[in-house]
Amino acid sequence: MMTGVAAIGGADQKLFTGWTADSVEVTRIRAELSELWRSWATLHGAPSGDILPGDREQVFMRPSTVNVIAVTETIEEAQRTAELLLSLPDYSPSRSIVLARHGAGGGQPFAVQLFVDERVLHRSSSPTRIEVIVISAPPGHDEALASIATTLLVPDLPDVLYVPFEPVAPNPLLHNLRESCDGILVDTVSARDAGASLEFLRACASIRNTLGLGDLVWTRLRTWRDLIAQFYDQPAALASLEFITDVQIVHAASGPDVRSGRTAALLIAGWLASRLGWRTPGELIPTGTGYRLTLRSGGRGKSREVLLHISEGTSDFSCASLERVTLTATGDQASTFSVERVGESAIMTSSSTPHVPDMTRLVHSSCPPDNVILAAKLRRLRIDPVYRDALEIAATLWPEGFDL
Amino acid sequence: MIPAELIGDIPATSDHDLHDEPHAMFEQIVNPLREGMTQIATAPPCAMVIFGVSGDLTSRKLMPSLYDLAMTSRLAEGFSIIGVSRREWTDEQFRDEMRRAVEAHARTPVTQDRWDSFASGLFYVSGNFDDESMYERLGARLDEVDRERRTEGNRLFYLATPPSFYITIINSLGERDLVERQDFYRAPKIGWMRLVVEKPIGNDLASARELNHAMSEVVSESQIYRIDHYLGKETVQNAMAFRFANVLFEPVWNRHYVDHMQITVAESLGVENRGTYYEEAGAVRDMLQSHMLQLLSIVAMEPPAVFRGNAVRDEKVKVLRSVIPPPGATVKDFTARGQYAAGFIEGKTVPGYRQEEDIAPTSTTETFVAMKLNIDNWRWADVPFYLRTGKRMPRRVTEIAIQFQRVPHLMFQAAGTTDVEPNLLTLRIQPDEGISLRFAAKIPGTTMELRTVRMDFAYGASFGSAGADAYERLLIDAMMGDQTLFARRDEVETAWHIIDPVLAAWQAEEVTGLPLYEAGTWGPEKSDALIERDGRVWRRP
Repeated sequence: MMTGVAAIGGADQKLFTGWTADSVEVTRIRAELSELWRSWATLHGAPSGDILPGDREQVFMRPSTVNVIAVTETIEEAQRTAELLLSLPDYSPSRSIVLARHGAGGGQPFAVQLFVDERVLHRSSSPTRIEVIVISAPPGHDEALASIATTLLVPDLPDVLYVPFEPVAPNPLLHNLRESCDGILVDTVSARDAGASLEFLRACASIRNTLGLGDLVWTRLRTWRDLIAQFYDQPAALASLEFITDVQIVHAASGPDVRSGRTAALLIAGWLASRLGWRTPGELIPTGTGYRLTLRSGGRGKSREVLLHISEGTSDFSCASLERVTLTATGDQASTFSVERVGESAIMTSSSTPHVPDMTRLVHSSCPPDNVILAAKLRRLRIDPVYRDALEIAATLWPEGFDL
Repeated sequence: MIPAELIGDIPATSDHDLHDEPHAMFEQIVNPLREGMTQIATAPPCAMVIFGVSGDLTSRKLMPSLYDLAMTSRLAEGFSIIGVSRREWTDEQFRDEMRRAVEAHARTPVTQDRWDSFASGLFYVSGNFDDESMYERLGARLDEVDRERRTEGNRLFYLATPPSFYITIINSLGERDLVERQDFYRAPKIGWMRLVVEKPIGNDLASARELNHAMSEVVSESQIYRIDHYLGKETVQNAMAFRFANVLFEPVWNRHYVDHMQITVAESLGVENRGTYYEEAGAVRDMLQSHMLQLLSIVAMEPPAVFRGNAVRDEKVKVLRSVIPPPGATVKDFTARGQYAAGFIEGKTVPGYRQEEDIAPTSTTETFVAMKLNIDNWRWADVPFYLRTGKRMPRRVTEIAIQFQRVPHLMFQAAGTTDVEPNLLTLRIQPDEGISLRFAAKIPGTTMELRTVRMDFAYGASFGSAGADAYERLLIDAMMGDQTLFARRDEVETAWHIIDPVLAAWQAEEVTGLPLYEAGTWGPEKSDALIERDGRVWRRP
């Protein structure tokens, strides 16, 4: 058994303990957590739950937010996920349980690690407790992992199933847990198989209408969607929505860490198509420089073509998301509107409409780190019909056999 | 596009044009790409004119908030600001001044390219507020901005000047056709036009009426946004969420269960650099008439049908109208005032009020006031509301405490428990924003011994980060045409109607020695006497 202080998840030091065993006992996990909190109190000079001396009264408390069950494949993935969950800038889960499906095996195949921390998340708030439990099991123990995780959940809180990496099919653990959770959160930024990842999410959406469903890629697109919508808030530009004939989406290429903006491009295309009523006749068609597809817009007798181009960019600032989106309308309502990331913390919008000088502006938009995005999404995980509509189309766009 | 306020409200059926159209309160989504973005408040294109732009309010609050809003893409692409003041600045000098203010107070760090982008929408017009040619130049600038930056004729006029200039500016805007009166039936000639005014709205009922009347001659009530930044605070809004989004507390939120309420707004600071203003205002005008009566109305109002504009404001006004102003002869029984003397705050000596800068050595301005109010309606009859506010209190705290009645019968007396404290619900506005409930619990053991315990909800524990700055929230609301968090004419005037008799009685009273309280204490002894007369005591927040 190892116990100590770890600098996991940032500069702050967390207490941890860990052990391996033939099986996992929930009572031992609870007892070890209590012991860790006692150690914490000893280290920091005040018993947890008591009022700290000082000019400001402070009471320790557990955040009252959500339970998170993270499903990963390997111990390395589990470790990275634990680091992420320990470093959330706010909205820390009341308890996080990270499961690794393919542990090391060996003589004592199950491994457990517990991390605890107490932090002031906001200057005017009291410190809150953070607990992360990491459990790895050898292959074939999915049912055991699911039952351990559900026993450890803090009662009366929403339970969120978090898939930080690509969902691997078949996956009985995911299948088992997703039936009982209140929300499913996936990050498809690392998806090698964009189509399969989006398809997994689409299948989750069909479980029940009351399930909160989210993709961190969609959260990263929030500024993009807002800026695009903002341009068409202007009455003069609004009319041109119906005359869009060309959509260019340039996304981040896959980097050494496999992260790319491919699902971001598909989701933004799905969003535009679903909101503007564009019909998708099939999958994207590969071209020399990317992919294209001709969509149909307008009703019978007024049908028009909208050419969709999706390609990879070369920018250093793409944040594994989009690099540029350009919408062009032609005819009487001609306009061009473009959103482009031009720096690590800057997005530029450019617009061109008849009779008015062209306009550009810069907004502050840093590439938010994963812990910020995850906290934001956990805070607002809810049923999002607009996302579901976008997902429905995005999942059908990607041609099979064209993944990394 | 039809401005939001013209959809939300119907025209005047009284002198106040205060009524809502209940089924038309939601703005229709016309941009299909906006669907599902209800949580993202983005202002429509507009030009904002700030009168008194060289003042402290602009530097500390307005410009930093606008910069932060622009950098987080909450403002439209062509959003523009035209600053107006007497200083002889060029556009470039104005931009340099504003850059310094933004660098000092904004949350988003300023870089050259970010600033260049924001500053491209900053313009300046120099002139006196009574100078006709200034308004001509302003009009020309607005036309130019509309043409070149697609602001669509939408205009937000912000009066960040001393109140003595309000009427001059408003009349001049009207005379020069820079604003047009807009209401439900008349389509606007170009875009929407709104007027934002800072408190204080008058310094008594008569001056408040005069100002409101002057504004109503030029624009309709649906175009006027009276800022009280307290209403932009997250926790003030949460008080409404707490009451009306939970079924648990509303059934006991009345005279049958509530013994009394205490509203405390305590500051540990003195008058700082606001001596000149404070000498004129005092605690009643500075805090009680505006912020504290707003808190009272929120905590005492009936449930509005919707959280929108006049639906909320109607209920707040109904409560204020039910407040019984302390009768002239008995004002001293309902109020206690005081002025801080030298003392200690957080271990450091601080001077008394009369020793502060810009304060007369014989000043009789109150820096503390406590007041007992009764609300004469079905829900609150016989439930006293105790309000107190002061400077140089032991700590900075704003809270609303709802003290419930004692249990009618204590069944545990035989077991040795002869008394239990009544339930207490505390809404903490600042700091440590949250809600706590005090209730009785059994002490573990073989006897039936009781003790009061506290159940706490802390904002930080559930939500972590802080919300938007109050000014950011209110500026966006004004641009979006949402008046819910702005005071309406009748609210302001009714509040003065409550306060005026107190001010009149104090004025008539010969002040030979205003009760002093030592800095770092909870006010003068008279304040304790005020509540102890009713068999109650002030909380120590």
